Amino acid sequence: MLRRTLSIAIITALLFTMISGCGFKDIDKRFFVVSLGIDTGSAPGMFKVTLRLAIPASKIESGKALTEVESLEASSIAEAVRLLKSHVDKELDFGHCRVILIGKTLMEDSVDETLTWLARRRDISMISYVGMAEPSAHEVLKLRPVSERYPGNALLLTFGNEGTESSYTVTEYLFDFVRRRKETGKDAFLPIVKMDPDRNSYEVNQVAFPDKKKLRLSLNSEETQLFNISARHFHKSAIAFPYLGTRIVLALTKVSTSVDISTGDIPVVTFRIRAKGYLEQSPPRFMNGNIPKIENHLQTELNRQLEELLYKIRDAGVDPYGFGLHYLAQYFGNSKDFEKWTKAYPYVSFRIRSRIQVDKSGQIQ
Amino acid sequence: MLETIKRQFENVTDLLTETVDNGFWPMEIAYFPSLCDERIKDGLLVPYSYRFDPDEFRRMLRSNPKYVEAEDPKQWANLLLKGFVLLKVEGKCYSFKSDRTLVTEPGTTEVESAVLGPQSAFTEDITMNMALLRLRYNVPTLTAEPYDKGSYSNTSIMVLYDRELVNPVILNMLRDKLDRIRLDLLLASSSLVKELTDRNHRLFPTILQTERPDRVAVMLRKGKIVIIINGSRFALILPVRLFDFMHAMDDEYDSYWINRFLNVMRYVGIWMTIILPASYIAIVSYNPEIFRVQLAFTIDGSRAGVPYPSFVEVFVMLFMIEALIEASIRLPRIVGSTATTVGGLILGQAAQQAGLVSSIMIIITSVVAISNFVIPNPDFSQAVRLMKYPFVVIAMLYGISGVVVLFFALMVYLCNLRSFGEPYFALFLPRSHDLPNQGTKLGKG
Amino acid sequence: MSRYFYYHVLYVGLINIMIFVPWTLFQNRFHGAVSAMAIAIVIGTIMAWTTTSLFLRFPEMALSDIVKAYFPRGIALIVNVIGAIIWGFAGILVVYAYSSTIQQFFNPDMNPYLFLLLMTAAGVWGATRCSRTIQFAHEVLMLLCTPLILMILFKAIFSPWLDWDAIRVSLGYVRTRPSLNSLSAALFVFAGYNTLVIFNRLIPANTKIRQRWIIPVFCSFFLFVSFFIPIGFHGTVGVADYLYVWSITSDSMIMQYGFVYRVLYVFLLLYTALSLMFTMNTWHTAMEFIKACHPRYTPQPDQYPVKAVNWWITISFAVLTFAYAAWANDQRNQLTYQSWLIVRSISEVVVLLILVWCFFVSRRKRRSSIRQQTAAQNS
Repeated sequence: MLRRTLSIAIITALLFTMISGCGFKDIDKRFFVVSLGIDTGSAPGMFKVTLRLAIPASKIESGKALTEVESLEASSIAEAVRLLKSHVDKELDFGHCRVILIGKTLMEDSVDETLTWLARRRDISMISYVGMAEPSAHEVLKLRPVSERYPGNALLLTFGNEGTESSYTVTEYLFDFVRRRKETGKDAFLPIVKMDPDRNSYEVNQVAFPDKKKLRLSLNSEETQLFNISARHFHKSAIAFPYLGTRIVLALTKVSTSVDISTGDIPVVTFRIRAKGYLEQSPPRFMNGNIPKIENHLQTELNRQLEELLYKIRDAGVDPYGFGLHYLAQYFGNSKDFEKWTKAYPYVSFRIRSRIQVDKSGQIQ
Repeated sequence: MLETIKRQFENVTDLLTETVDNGFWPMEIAYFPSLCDERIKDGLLVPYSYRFDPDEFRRMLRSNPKYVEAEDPKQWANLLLKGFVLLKVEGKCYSFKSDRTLVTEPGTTEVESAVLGPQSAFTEDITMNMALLRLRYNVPTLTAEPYDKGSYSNTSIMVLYDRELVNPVILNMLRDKLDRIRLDLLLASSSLVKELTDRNHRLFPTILQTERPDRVAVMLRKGKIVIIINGSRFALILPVRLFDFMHAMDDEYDSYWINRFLNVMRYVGIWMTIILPASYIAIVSYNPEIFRVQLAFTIDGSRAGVPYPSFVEVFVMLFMIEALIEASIRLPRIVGSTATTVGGLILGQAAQQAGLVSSIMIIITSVVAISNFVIPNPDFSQAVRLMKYPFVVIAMLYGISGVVVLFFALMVYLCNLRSFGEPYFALFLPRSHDLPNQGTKLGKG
Repeated sequence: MSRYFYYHVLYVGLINIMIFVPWTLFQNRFHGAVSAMAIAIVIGTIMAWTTTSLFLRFPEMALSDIVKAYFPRGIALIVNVIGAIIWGFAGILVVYAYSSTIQQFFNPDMNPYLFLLLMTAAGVWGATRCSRTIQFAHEVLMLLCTPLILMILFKAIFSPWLDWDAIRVSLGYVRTRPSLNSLSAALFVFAGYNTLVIFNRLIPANTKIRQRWIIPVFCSFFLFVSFFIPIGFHGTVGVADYLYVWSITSDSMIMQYGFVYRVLYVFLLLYTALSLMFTMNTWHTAMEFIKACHPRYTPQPDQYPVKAVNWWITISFAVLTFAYAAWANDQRNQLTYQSWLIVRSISEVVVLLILVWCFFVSRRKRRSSIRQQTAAQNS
């Protein structure tokens, strides 16, 4: 009996000593990184890593969320993070890092190294939002939005569709970004994060298109919305069309697209888009309430806008819509077919077939 | 006769031994006045004394079923202790049953109260209990086998079953076990439970104790075996499954959907009471990224002032709540509510404000305590109460993955248990023809 | 009773992720993985069907009991030993793979052997139980897991981020020639019925296993899911970069309004249960094979309490797991998994052949005995 008690005591003691060696770290000894920014450093080959760290408070109020911004330059990201650890009093925890910003200069340069590091870190979630920061990630992360309730949640809510759902904000996850960087016939896109001019909130209404190596094109906010609708099927949006000096606004409720690519030496991409919506703003007695006529007008307008956008993207040499992949998928192509496609892509022509269905013309005639 | 008895009961002063004489016949009489009731007057003393008629008296001795011939001197001591009167007339010994029934009314439910069900509970008297049971399970096939157990207490127990529904293999196993029991004092049903279960079974109860006659009736109908014990308010039911412990008698009386809802809630309760303290440790100290970021920051903020690691915090709070529960059972009823108020409200609030524990931990502790009492069976509730500690320890060492692994081990443990050879945690009982070689392979319990 | 059989089929179908089946297939995704999968569906279904039917001809007999009855002792011994090695290794491989996954994603700072200790302890505890307990545990755990499995599957299949173009592109490679590696990997998904080698003891005579369409339908579904979903999430090119591809895939999904935000954690918790179930089952099977080597062994599928020998055998498996963990690195590990998959596929065919042989022998015996009886009656 005594021997048994003794052995139990020894085992318990052993177990308790084990705790010290295996990742036991209380939550109040951890510093949560809420957003991570990576820029090019001052010297070539250097990286500037900016971390936004949450300082938790027991009371939660708007604008009272405290964060600390730490940044450091080193010749690799891993080193920078390791060095940053010596600048803070608690263990850095990337588990809640949901926003990753990549500086514009780094995007123009090369993001390969950054992405490898991000994919290797197991604690960085693959569903983090990725964005391109302008002018630099450090500048954007330094901003302290007034409305922030939890540390770092303003940026998180801006990106995701839990909070605001803006049709100008393109959402991109890390896993999708990584996939698009590697995929044949599909290129990445990144939302551009800027500071609001009055410096109290963020502005995310543009999109940037890098190819496999570097940044190629960025769109303005109108084009961004069109991209968001046509490529990401974002349906909580409103498109405006000019009409005799006024503007008609069509609020969308449903968007679907399909793509058909013909074979031949120079393939023709037929892009079909079906949209459903209602007129949110239109002149009174607009076209006498003749729905088919209105639809027709909107369709030609949308065709024109989309065609412009697609040619602009094609001319920049990027393929964020994934036409190349779709081409392969349609004809079960292999690498030879893809070579053919890459040669042909700068010359492909687009044919837009849009079909707009106006549900009700708002509440009034 | 008296000489023999006196020799056996030396110095037992509360035994009445006397030779009485009514002028016709002398009679030797011996009984314990404390064990016998007033019936001795009408049944024996009146006919013997002033209404005496030798023929009538002889006829009475022969025809009244309360009079039994007791010629074997070895039986005498036992009979006297059971509340019989021994008498010797005309050179013949008789016993007269005149045991005092202490209880004449059914008890009220205290441990397993039901809202709509019957409110009567078993009493500490075995005949009363039999009456309560016969009232609810009234068929000729209900069989009762009497036993006497406890070499010092000599407690009478009854094994009851419906002989058409009962599984004979289990019945034989029970008889074997009962024969093998060596016990000094059988004072409560729980001590019989301990004797009947194997050593390995002690963590979770595999025999159901109940104070409700209606539950016993329901179980008898299912072919289970019931043991009632003289002097205990609880009947034992075997074999049982885990789900029987989670079954409140109200389930039989409530409407279907209420019943489903409450059942689900009970299992969620069990799960919470076992998992919550452990997952608090795991989340706080290993994987704060599992839950939403808001939750992490809230915990972080409320833990900011706590000086110890999370597991000390958990142990402190768990100790407090266990002490509180224990105290409110032992304390007199009147003081009990005060203790709960002081302990639960004031102490918790103060501990949180003083920064000794985080406010989240206070919530967890109360949820743990409350959901533990959702379990209808007190025996099972105790087992579950204990189960959270291994989980806390494994969470200290391995975090959330340890909790899941231990949960797996617990499931296997429960599946491993057998209640009298019957699976304890099989979800859907196999129909009897599905069991391979039933009856031979169930040899070990 | 047949539902117990299907629990085995289902969770073995699901565990393929932990035995690097998708990884193996992704390495060959442009060189015959898809065609191998198509062939595996046909072969796997046929094998499952015939083997199951044959096992039902020998009610309440494990493979070792059948072999003992129809073969000389030496051959029976060899079959038992080989069976124990293959099955024991399955548990070792899964425990190792899972504990390294957990170590990567849950506790990166923890000593890997420490977690291996926990997993093997749970595996040993489960495997030492009697066969019947293990069946009950399977049922309970499968029921607990089902909502999680369904949730992850639906989440993945209906995710707007799933790229169907990439899936279609990889489907196009069905025209390439299949390789042995990918065939044996794909066949593993159908291997659930093999658990009958021991658990047939619990299936009494005249049981019919109905609804056998479950095997091809569900196993093909699992095979497609575990191959195509990661491709849909990581693209035709990116998918080959990840070793723990399914963990990363589940990390690519979120539960917007869930209690747990990242699906990864749900996935890991689910696979803790599935891996432990698999380990429990395989080690138990291997243990029964070893116990059957003893000449005076009588099978006891429902035994309580269990014998000490159970503990010794399974603890030796646990020790082997540690030895394997010490020896293995990523390269050796891949090689082991692939060779194990191939050996296992071959053993499956061998088991089928043994059963066919035993079946014919038993039929001839029965015929001759009937003939003798009729002859005796006639005379």
